[in-house]
Amino acid sequence: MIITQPVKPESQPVAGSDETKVVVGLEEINVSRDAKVVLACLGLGSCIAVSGYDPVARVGGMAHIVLPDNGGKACEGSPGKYANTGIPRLMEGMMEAGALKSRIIIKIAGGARIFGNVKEGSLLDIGFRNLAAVKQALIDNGLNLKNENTGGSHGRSLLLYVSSGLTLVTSAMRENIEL
Amino acid sequence: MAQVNATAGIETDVWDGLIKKGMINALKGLSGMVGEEMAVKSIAIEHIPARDMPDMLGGAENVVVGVYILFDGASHGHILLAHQPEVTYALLDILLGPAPRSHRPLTDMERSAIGEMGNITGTFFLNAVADELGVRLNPSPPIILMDMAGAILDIALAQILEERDRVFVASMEYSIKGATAAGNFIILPNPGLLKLVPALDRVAG
Repeated sequence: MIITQPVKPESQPVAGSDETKVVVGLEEINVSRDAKVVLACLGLGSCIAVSGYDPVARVGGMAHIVLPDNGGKACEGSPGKYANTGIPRLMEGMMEAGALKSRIIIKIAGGARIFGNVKEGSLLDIGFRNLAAVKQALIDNGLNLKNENTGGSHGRSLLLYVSSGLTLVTSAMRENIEL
Repeated sequence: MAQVNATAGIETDVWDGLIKKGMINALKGLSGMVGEEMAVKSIAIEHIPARDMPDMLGGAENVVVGVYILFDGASHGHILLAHQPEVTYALLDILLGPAPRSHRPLTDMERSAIGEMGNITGTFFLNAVADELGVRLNPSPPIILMDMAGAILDIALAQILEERDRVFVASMEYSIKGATAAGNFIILPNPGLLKLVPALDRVAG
């Protein structure tokens, strides 16, 4: 299984550097050991970006989780769609690229309640349900969550610099946050 | 992006005609509220991968002001009226009078005016469609959001992706005062709405 994807046509050079931003779209998983790559989940609302980084092998990975659980449904074409399938596939991809599971640093962002006052845990409260499912999947896969920027009611982007493991959260009208 | 293939033959024509009729009615409502002539630039009815949706609003990180309406009744779905902030400020100038506006949280008065724009547009659309179908479609109160396009679309896309990987989307671009401003009016119906169409034989065109 090769999860690492070629740099997409819509990937953009990062201004002022020789790095290339590789967008990890809805339901996608991307793994890279290319030091010039910046993995990015853009415009996260209720979705959650799960980033993994092995600082020794310098392997980075990111999954753009959309929904909590596949409920047993097949999702071969888009394993990143669900928390319970996306996280193990992200780990498999990273380990195929040379990462060691025990060294992988996990950080997450997203899971917002964009509509504000939706009832907690309701069907519309997908961000909350995603967050709970991602944390459960991390536990189920023996992974520790190092840091997070989640919840609230605003959108975010998560960027992972494969060269250094630097993980940045950016938002509209807010300061950038280093996770 | 490919044209919709969710229904076939006359059903597609009927569906397209129904949506266009609803959208033109929605713009009529918005134009009446704003008091400015608005013209349809384009109406597109497409069936696209869900992950491409944010591109319709300039990309996932592009900041837009959106009015979000859910509807239920005979079927359910999502309606989004979205503008670039600068266009929203121009509309607010028309509605509330000129004022210095920039990228900052909207005031209560501005939110109310924007919400009413979405309310009028969504209601005019739903009324036109419901009248043709002879069903009830009930809009939720408008939700006003100023954020990244991807974040605003997430809930709708997540709900749709629970059932399928591609989204049926109808969108309209329109101009205000000639070509100086444009907005997007996006409909994301649940497949149930399309299933109501075969019963129609009087809406085509």
